[in-house]
Amino acid sequence: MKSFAASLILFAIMITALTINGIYINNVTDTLKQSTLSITHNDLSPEQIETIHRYWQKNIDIISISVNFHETESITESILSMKAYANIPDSPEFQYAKSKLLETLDKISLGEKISISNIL
Amino acid sequence: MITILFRTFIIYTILVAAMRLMGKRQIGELEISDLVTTLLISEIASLPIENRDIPISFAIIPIITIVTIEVATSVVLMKFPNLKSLISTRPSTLIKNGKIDQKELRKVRISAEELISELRQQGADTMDDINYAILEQNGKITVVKNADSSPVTATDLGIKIQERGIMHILVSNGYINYHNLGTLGKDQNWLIKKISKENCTLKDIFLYMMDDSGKSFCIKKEKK
Repeated sequence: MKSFAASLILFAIMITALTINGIYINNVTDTLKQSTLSITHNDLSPEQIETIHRYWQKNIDIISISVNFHETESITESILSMKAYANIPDSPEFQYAKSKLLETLDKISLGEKISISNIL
Repeated sequence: MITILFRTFIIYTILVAAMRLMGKRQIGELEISDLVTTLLISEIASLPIENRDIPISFAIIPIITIVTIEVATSVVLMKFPNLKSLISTRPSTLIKNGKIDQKELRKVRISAEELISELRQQGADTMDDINYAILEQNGKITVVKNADSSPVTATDLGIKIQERGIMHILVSNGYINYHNLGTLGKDQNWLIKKISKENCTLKDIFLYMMDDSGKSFCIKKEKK
């Protein structure tokens, strides 16, 4: 019975950690989405993208614990592409990088939701 | 590459803790679910070690979940034995009173050749020796021989032999096994006095054992 109690406690701790992790990831992805959506080509400054980049770098270590490397790498690449093309916000490359960033963020936050498509 | 080293340490520690939590039945693989659990856990654990792209949590979460399910299932089955038939088979009697049950053999899909091979490995040379052969839940075959073919015991000869019990290791490589000492109802002072009668100290001892009748065996360390 001791091992039963121990495994239940471990399971409860894991569920708590998963819940906190889910909330954390949703907070980070929501913040990044809002910051990215607020970037318009009429009103763009390189500091906006730099802020996004610094925020992402601050949180990437913890996000990597539960998010696949390919997805975190995709976000990093998108942000760097946006930085590179910040001087030409109308360019297709900038728009592509922005769209890719938003799509990857959606994918990550969807991964934390309980749905049939996620489970299957 | 150094991350692989750390991941290996972490996952190894988690695996040992998981097997410890699941207990001796997991190592013995008593049931189908025990075997499935062991196979699953080993596969899952190896993934983040081999592939750095996979987060380590992708191994930790399934392992903890499987351990919890396994331990909870074994507790529930202990409390409600009727549910056992849902996840495990019953032992099958393949030979009863020396006669092969051909219907049971077909049911468990074992051929006569396989059965005879197993019986030979159990030391049963001829069919005349066998009373029962049972296919256990863990896949092993147990053979019960006829009384005529079984080795003679002291009871058969009407001889009274003193019970020796089992050997308890009290000192191993200079270290006292307090658990076994407690089992015999003795303490450290008693042990030190016993050892001193062997003209040596604790440090000199490789192995010191005692059986339930009080007979002791002492093996000293070899000089290097």
